[in-house]
Amino acid sequence: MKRFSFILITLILPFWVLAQRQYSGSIQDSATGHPVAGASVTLLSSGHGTISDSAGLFSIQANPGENIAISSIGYSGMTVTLAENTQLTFRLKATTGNLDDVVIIGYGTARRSQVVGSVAEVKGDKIASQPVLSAAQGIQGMVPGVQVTASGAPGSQPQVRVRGVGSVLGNANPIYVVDGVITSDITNINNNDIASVQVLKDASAQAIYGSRAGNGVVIITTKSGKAGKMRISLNAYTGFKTPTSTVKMADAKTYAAFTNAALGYENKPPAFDLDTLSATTDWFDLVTHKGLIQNYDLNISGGSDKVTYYIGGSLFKDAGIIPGSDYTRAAFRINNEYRLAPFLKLGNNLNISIYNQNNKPTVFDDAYRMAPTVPARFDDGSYGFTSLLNVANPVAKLDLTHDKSNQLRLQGNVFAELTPFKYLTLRSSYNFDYNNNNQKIYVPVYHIWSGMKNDISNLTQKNANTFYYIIDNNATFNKTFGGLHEINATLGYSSEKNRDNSWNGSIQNVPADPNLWYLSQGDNNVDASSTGAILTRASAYSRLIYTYNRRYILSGSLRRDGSSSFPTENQYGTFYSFGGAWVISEEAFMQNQQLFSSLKLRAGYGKVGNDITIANLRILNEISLQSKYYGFGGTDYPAQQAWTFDQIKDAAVSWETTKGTDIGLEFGMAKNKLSGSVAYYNKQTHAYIPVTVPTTFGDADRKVYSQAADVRNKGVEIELNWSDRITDAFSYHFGGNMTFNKNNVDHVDGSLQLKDGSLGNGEIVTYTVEGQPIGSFWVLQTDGIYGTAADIESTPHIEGAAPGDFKYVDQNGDGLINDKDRIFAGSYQPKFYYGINGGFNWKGLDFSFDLYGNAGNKIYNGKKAVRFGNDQIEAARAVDIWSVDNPGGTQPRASNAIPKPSTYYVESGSFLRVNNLTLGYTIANTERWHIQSLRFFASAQNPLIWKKYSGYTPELPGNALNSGIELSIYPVTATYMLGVNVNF
Amino acid sequence: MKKYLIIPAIVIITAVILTACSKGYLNPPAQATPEQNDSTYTDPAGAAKFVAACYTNLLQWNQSAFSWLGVASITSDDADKGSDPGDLGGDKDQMDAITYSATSGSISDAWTGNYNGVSNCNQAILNVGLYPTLDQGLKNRYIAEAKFLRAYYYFNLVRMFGDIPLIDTVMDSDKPEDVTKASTRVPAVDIYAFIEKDLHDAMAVLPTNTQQAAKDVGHATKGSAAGLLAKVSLYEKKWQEAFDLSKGMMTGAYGTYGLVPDYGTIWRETGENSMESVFEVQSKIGVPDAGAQQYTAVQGMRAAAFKRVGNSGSANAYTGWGFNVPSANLDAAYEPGDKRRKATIIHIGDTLFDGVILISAANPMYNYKSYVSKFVESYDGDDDNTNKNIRLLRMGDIVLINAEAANELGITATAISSLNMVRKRAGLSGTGASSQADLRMAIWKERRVELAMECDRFFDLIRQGRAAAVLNALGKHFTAGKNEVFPIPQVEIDATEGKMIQNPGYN
Repeated sequence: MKRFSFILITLILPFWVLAQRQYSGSIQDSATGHPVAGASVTLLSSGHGTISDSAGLFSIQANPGENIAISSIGYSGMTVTLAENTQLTFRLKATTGNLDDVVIIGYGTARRSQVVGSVAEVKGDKIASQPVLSAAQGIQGMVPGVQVTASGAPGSQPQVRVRGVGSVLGNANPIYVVDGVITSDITNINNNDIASVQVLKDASAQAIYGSRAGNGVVIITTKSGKAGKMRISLNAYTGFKTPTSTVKMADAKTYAAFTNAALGYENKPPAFDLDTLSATTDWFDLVTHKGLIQNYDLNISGGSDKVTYYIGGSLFKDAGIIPGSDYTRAAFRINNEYRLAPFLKLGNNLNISIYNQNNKPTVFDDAYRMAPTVPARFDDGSYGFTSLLNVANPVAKLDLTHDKSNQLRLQGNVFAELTPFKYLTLRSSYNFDYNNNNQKIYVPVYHIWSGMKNDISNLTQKNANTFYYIIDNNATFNKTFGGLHEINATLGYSSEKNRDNSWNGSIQNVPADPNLWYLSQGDNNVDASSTGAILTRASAYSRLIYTYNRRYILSGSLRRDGSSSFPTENQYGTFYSFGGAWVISEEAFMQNQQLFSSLKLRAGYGKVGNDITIANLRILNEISLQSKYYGFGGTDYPAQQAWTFDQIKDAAVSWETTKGTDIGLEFGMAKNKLSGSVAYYNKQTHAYIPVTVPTTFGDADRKVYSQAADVRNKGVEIELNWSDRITDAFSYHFGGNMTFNKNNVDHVDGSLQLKDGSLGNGEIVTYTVEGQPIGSFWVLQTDGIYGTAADIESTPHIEGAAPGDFKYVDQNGDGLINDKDRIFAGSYQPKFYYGINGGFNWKGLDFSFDLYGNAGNKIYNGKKAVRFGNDQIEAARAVDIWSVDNPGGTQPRASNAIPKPSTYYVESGSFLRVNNLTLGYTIANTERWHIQSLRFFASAQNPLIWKKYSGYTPELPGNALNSGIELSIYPVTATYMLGVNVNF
Repeated sequence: MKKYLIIPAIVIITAVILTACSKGYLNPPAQATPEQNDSTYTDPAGAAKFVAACYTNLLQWNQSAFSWLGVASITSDDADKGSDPGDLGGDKDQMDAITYSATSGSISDAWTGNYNGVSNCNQAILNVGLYPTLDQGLKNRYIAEAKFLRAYYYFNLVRMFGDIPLIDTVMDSDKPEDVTKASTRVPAVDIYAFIEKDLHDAMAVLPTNTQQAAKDVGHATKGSAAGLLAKVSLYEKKWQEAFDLSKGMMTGAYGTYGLVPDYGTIWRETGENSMESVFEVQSKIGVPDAGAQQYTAVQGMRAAAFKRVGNSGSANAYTGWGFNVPSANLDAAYEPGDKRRKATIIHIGDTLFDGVILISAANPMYNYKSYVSKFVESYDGDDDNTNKNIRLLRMGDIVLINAEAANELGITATAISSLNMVRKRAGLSGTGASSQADLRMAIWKERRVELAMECDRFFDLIRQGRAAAVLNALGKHFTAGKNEVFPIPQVEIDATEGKMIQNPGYN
């Protein structure tokens, strides 16, 4: 058989080659007649192909009678059979929300019409056009159902919530699948290398990633080369960052008067002579600067019908707004594909990234609290301080911090794809992710005053490295029977392993010269430790999509997962989904109407999971090494190590599951000028929580991690987009999306005491209970201000209450004011969040805007509520302040007491922010310089915000239980930049 | 074509076989975490680790530092909250004013710290017994030490909370009887009986301090158990037992003990584990961490400026958060000429034993007994874990227990002579009291100044039945019939789903 086929091929090949002709053609936009550049032209028989050039022209060797497919992003593809005529013209129809678009759905692709779940897509260019580090930030406001909350800290990745908060413990972020590598951190990916980002939002879309999908899946596909001429693309921008908003603080005199008054109430002498004060120190100004941001990216791509390549290199530098801190990342990518035979393809996607970071403490809390009467430095050059309050001089703190970290990360895959038959693809891939992190922290000797000093220098060195791999093998079957029955099946198997190793060492008395910052340079004892972890998973997965006559779709996924996170008996979990879709617009009765160009109804239900990785959850008989040793026999003898059993484990721990429904309607109207979707979802997570057990059980931290809470998220997503081309020279688009989400803790088993949101001053402000959203603020309700001592005596009050203090409502009427009188005052989770975007192209000019906002959430102004005495105040705090002379004052009296958590500090978190404004100009007729296109642009990221909140920023990431509390957030910054895109 | 097919097929098959099909792929060994298994009990060195956990609990923050000082010291008339007025240390203002509630963190921490200690002792008693190759004598000694410490933890708990759950075995949260036990409050009298039994058991086995090897200093001794039992007997008003045990301690029946000549040196590094010491927590600096967590830091002088004798410039002495400061009332309680006043209280302007002069600070007075010298004592720059042993029980206390028990038993001459031993060391003349009632008051007064800032006073006042009178005279809010015990922490009641009953007056 083998020999015969060989002979057959050798015999036929020459004839086949001889019969080929040179076809050439042009590809145009059907509406405008403009050339479509970069369209793929593929011979279906061989898979050979080329792409159109900037004039929309291509040429290819082919035989008459062969089928040729033309496709381009944003257009409906078409397939034609070649005739004798070698001059061709193809007119492609632009698609907006077209149901024939190809969508990446995890371990494969499908037409949008076939997707029964909720999948949102953002094209890479939308992300690359923003001055942001990661794609997670780049999709903010663009996808309904996806809430992105970020700080402005350089090098940080934002918090992402897909359709609400489900997991209570640990990380509620989605997983990211970068070319097959499952990761939680995508800061290593250069945004210019990204082709597209897909967000799988509901169980029926996620179930193929079953065990990892509980909090959503974000699939990132990087660019690959296309056969044809080499393309070189150069993108660069540079700009600066500034704080978006500031808080007006009291001047020195106001502060001094307030402090004197507070001391006066304690019968203490005044701390300040108001007549001698002059200068006011603006600490916030001193600890911020205009930070430079830069990005340079060069990529080269191309290939032949046998080999394609994409090579990209980039350098990203972000200095942030805190002087001395910066983040620099270099990333290098090489994506190749080798078609060894018509039926065999090999390939690789490899990414190398390195970052270096100078870490500085987020000193905004110190800058907020430090007295304005203190100069950054005294006249003699020494750092300013006051013994009145125990706050570090933030300028000194920045200067004295020497903390550098770096990372090397290698990520990627190699794969083989075999297509023995047209309808069957076998794919095997090895995907890996290695990162190696180093950090060096040096604390010098300094003595500013007794409240801010370090007597002995200290050096800490840390290393952490992780190696992760996932081996994935799957088969995809795709065939249409009898022209009506389309079967799309996927069956696969994967195994993954993650190995962490880390060590750290510290030593004292290391000299101040940076070249001597090594553990060998200190005094004799290195305090060293190391640790590690191994996590393994094995999974089998399958999916079947059945399409009848392109109209009726049934789809189901089934996945079985094992994870080493759980005890041996509970390691496996089964996850599934099923759903259906009806493409109404394909029906005969829809063919004679003009209103809907596309219309699809979908519904699905499924169960997905999360192998919540709490350390040592599976070790039921863990021996706890105690943190302390014991010094029997004094210093002459080595200290004795101690261990005991003090961790109770839940032997029933297994997968955290989320079950949910998604129903959606997708439509295109007015010749697809208007497109949109409406979706309803309702899902419940059976979540892990730390169940509090009595100390008498013998559990040292009183916590047993157990699956004991049901958290529900339900909501509605709406998306509408309008785009139109008025003339050849002018087109515009406008769109928006909005998500309403309601989070509720439906049920809790046993005793749940999820109090959190510590302010660091002994007060906590959130409480998670049945019937309320996760992480609800839990505070006393203020009821005006006490006017007189008699007024206090006659009402329930807090010990030590004085006239001018807040009166609190005695909710339970027991005559006492205590924690039992606290009320739920909203949560950090917005009632709805939304994005608005639009733009136009006119001749060479392009303009776009993009807004993001949320509403109905609350913020706890924690920084204002943390007062240890004599702290700086906001300017507004001293306006209309209660005093004996101003008994009607609306602000409570000056006081140095730590404030009780109350509704006074709960503020509205609603805001609308201009996310991005971009104005670009593409210079015409650059071919004479051998430049295909040349565009200059100016862009502003976060230039404007409308907010009610009085603090630095209403965007306050945190974990499920303590988000929305502003203590020392690195605020979202405004970025202004200029850039250029050049294509050769 | 088949040739090409074969390569990926092999790759796929091997990948599957090599990875997931290998046995144990989903059960990798736990990294950096020991698991109990067949080999756990083969090396007898492991037994020493179980016992050490009974001791290391004494170094924990919630056992010996902030919360314990709040519960046992700031509540009393000896100490004030201290620190800055606005810095409440969580709830130390409530501890000071005696306005705390079931949700006050100090109280819940003190509960947790001591019950964690109980649990570690129960684990040690069970697990030490499982080492087949461990020397029987050592096994007995280890178990006796664990019983001594279990008694110590229960003595704290019963004094704080009265009736409490009696956990005398390793608990299994899946067993209904253990769940019941964890939430059932046992009368205080039964707790005392349990403590007595543990201490008797310990006394029968433990070596005396003179028999103890140098490498074992810090382990509980026969004297530790006898001394603690004397104090427990005092609280139980078992005068004869208290008298006999304290007398035995003073006459060498349980080891070599006595009052050191210079009161001030007791808390200096040179005074560690002296003949004065009946039991003390060993706190060591360096690597690995064996220090009492922040015991000295929370009490260190706050926002203080120093000079040093013979130096004109400022000096850089040990500072801290400034909580648990001596009260003016305590300062005034010393008789003129009492050496203990300046050995207990640092006043602004004082020159300390290491030549440090306190120029200014946030509070007028600080606890000298927790002071660490950076100049003449071991110090490694870590302010949180210092080389300061915590003296939990010492002969000054035992001698006064002897005096009080003797007085109650009508052995007046012994009462006076024991009282005067303590007074003499303090540089004071003999007591003028002679009647039983006067002597009682004199001994109580002496206990206060002798044991000031040693977390004894608050419980002593309750024991003496005069806490309300003494404390309320200073403006505190001690309610007789309520504040003799602290509230059961609400978090613990909630964790038992309300089965544990609150102390009266705290609902």
